[in-house]
Amino acid sequence: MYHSNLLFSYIGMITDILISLDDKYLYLSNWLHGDVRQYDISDMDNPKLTGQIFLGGSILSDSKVRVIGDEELSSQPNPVHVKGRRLDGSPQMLQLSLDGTRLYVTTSLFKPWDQQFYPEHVKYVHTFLKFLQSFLINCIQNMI
Amino acid sequence: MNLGDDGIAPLEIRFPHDPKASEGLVGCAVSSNVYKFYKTPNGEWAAKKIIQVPPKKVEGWMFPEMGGTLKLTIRRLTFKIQNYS
Repeated sequence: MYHSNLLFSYIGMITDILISLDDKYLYLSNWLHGDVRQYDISDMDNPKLTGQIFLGGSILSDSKVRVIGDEELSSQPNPVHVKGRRLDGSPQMLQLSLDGTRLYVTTSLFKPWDQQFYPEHVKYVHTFLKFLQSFLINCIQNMI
Repeated sequence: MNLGDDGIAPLEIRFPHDPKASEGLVGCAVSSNVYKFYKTPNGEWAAKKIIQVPPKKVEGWMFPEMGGTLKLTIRRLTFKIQNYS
């Protein structure tokens, strides 16, 4: 068992990537960190980060995990609430509507991993899935 | 195509929607990066890294009690442990 005063190099863990229908944007999800990112890939050799949103994850400001070193952020992101419900778990799979204006996000990876990393998410999974069916996350609007 | 030590666990492959494109992208879960693979002028396939999600240095995360295989997998593949004095 590792002691909590050891430092860990905590990977983002990209579990899904997606290219927009006009080939302009790449979306990816970091299931451990908790963010969905949008990159402009008009020049595919030099992507530019154009949007980022946290939808849960392991490094929220009220998590037991303390971020000591971060190349990109200056503080840990806050938990996210949608329609009065806190988003547990972390973004995993991504899909774009055919008109490219809406991004759909789901959170489950598979059960043993969900259980270990996001147990609250598993606990509420029945109501959470139903909740997901009835709301859409307009990530594009948040990102641009 | 072998992406090497910095392209661990390629999971998702996506192609541009242009049917004439001879390139694509692949996301690697454990190394947390994205490679572009493409056809070179002499007809061979090559890959180059185009995105790296930098890991964060964290503390306060302890390995939860978990089954043997999953624990070994996570230890081996997921985390690098850095000691500090």
